[in-house]
Amino acid sequence: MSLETRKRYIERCPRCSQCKWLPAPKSQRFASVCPSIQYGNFHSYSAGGKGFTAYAMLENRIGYSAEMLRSVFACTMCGACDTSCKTNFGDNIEPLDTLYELRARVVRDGKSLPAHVELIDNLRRVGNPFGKPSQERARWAEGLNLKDITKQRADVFLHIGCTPAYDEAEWRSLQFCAELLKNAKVDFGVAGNAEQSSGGLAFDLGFQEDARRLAEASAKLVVASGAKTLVTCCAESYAAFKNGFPRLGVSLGGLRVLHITEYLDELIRDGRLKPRSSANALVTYHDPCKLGRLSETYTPWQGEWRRVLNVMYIAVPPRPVLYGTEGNYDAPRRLLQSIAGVEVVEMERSREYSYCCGAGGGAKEAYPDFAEKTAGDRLTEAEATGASVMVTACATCQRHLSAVANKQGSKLRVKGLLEMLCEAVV
Amino acid sequence: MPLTAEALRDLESAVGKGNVSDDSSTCMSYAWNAGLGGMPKPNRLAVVPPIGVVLPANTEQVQGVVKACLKHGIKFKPHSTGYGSLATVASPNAISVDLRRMNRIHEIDERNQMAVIEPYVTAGQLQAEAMKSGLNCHIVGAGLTHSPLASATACFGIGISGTTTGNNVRNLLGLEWVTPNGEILNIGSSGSGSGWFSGEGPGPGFRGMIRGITGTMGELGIFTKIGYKLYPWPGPKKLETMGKHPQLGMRIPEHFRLYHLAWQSWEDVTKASYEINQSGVAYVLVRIPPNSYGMALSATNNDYYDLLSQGRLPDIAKDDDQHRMTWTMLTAASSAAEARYKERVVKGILANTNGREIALSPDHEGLVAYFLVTSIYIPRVLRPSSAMSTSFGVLESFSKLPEVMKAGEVCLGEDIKPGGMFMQGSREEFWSWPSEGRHLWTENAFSYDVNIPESRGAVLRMALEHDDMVQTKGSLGVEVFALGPLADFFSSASSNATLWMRKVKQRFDGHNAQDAQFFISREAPWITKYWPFLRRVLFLRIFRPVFKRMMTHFAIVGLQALMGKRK
Repeated sequence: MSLETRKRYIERCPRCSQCKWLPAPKSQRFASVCPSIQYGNFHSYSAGGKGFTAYAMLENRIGYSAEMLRSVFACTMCGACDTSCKTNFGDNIEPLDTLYELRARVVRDGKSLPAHVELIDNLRRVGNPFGKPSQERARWAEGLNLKDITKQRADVFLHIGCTPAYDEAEWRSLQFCAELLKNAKVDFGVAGNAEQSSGGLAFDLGFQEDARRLAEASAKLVVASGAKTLVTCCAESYAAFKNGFPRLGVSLGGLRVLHITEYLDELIRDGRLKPRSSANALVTYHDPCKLGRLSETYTPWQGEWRRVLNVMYIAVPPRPVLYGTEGNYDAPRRLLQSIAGVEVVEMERSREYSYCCGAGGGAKEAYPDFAEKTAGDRLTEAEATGASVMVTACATCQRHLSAVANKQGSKLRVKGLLEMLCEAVV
Repeated sequence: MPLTAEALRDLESAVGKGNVSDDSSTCMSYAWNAGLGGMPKPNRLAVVPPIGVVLPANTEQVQGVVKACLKHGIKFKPHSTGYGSLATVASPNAISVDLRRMNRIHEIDERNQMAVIEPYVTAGQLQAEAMKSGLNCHIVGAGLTHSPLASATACFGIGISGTTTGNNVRNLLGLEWVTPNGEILNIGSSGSGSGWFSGEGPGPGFRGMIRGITGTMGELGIFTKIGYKLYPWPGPKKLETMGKHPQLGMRIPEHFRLYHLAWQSWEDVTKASYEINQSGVAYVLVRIPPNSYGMALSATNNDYYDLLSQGRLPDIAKDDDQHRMTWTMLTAASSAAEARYKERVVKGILANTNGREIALSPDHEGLVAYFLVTSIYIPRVLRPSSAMSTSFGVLESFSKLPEVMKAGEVCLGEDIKPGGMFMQGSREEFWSWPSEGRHLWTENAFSYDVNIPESRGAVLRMALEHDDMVQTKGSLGVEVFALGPLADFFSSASSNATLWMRKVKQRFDGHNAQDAQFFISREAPWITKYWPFLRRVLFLRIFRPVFKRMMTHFAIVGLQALMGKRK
């Protein structure tokens, strides 16, 4: 794909602004779906507006400016615009694909933001965006005696992901998760220090070649292991495996891909794990974009748009359309509900309409004020439910929401789903 | 001509730093030519983008912007949610005033059934908040993302739930207006400090003068706050949805019922319309052209085409004589007894008028009911090609219904048939309903292809031919889409209303501060003088091939070649 191929899609935009709003809002307060326009206000920050920017670039009507780059990159690439746009326009416009290509074009033109270049340098150097030594990736597993899947065969490849592996606050949950799998007699292994980023972040930032290199390396590692199932603890990698790899032409060889929440849910439903009571809590669940609408399986399409009925355009051959509805929404909720004493209350924007936490797409690194405002908005929505705990199944979301909750003095506790389970499952 | 440093400084002092931009990419994002109001021309990006964009947060800041514009000789054009292309500027030295930061619902007055709102409150937001108080709002054809304030003050705002939610021309109550000369005026009851409940007074009452029926399309000052009528909503405080995005439906509330009713002739439809309106049983009564139902019941063009080409369209989406002369009706009741009563009335009307009920599947029922209550799927008329136009918009007595339907068919004529220039949709493409539960509103909406010059040319030809038909026949009602120069061409059909519109424009926009693209210009275009002669030639049957070629030519070179460049 290229930005040029996006032109016919951008041309289909009727500027209805649906990309800014929930298809059917339940209140004025939480009617927005797009953190970027909520922050930047000018239309150029909306998905439609970014499309017009791309179009104007293709028509040589504009050049690069700080404000242009800000409108492109003060965006979490959460994909809510894409879901909303499809309320009425199906696959006519698909704004998220345009955003991917717009960012790739900026990278090719050498105009990336310094904060993003630093992330990419780290990924190139040590395989994680934090710049931490690759030898420290498996520290969380020290003393656990886990099978090294690069040397021994196992049914399940347990993929950890960068944020869980390097964030010490996540280690207890990871260790507990490993214990659970052992208790359930799952034959699994980990790749330890050999694991590296799956390329999801690089793809979001527009560095598609880096993303492809990382994806290929990850796929090689996983396929070589001979495992039948790939279970990842990282929401970003889950989206990369299911949605990003096919975009980059990288195959996992038909491996079954699950998020850890789906796998634990299966184990509980199979009776191999049994939850026990936890403390009473009113909980609201934050759907991470990468675990939800961005994790739908992408199928590459090659074909043409054919004119029928005089002026209507259809895809030939038909193409699969992603509406955001097939993300991993139910397993996390079932896991929460499996804990006695936990009552789950939904936020107005949930599942495919979930509002982003603000951390993704390189936004936190490049525009921290934007990321903080977005998290603040999401916390406000969670608080409005009356819940005392906000649970999420993405380490990046959890880390960011938790930091902003502390900074803004929110009474809400932000917890990881594994952490909740950790306290409740035997 | 870029914004001067001094002008930029003055605008920043009006709205605050960070709320003004003269960046070319930002400006270009306000120059999109597509969708509703999109001109039938080849380029999606307007040749003339705004030279700056400002984001005022309140009325005083709006006034500051207008005064800065007057001081620096800059034209301005405001917009609320900026739906389609009605908000684009046309002058080379114009800024866009984006009212996005003015998004407050000041009040929902449950007992007096009204709200006080700012420009960037969307219909979807207002409806969600109003329903919590047992009220509902009108939602125009643009759908949930439009601004009720913009629609009520400056456009011809009309939507499918008009049976019980009126129309926005008349839903406007008190209003606050920053004139093109930079004064802040309060009109109607807000002008006497007695609240927002009335557009006429107590207080200065010239609501009609500054909006008329068509509205000024943001080209006569900036409206900043209005009182707005709300209507009783007997349903739940929150709509319960069912199904899967994007094919969401609504769980039909207890005591509500959805009917899809069909007749064999428009005369019978007309008879039934009077009886239904007199009975008052309908909460929503609307006729949607079958192919638009086809769009609503499918998520993509491919889905629709598959249904059509495989002969699997449900009855509601069939454009044959058995299924196209219809009303879809939602009844709402507060008790089982009331629901039973309404059901009996509907059955009686069907029996009296040779009508019948067409059954819908439960999924389709929920989807259609949701569509009727929220208008959510109306924008799908733009899905086939992302370009649509209209030839007819008629406010009239229901007695005109058969004649109007026939005229619509004639107008779309060959172009809607295979090989034509418009979408092969339903034969007249009319959306109709009883506005305010009484008089007929009907409007057709058809798709064309902006990338094909002949298709664009056909739209221009259609606009002229239709307006001429209304004027010549004099019996097809009021044409409400005579925007821009069309208003001048066909003014005599509306008692020369443009004479008065121009006086209003000249009086209030003394400095010629605003764009005149859709509303009337201060001076009539030169071609208006020759129009009476031209029209006699243009619409002659023997001249038709030349007329078609002319319109295609202007669709390629742009209408400005005909109208002259704007100053």
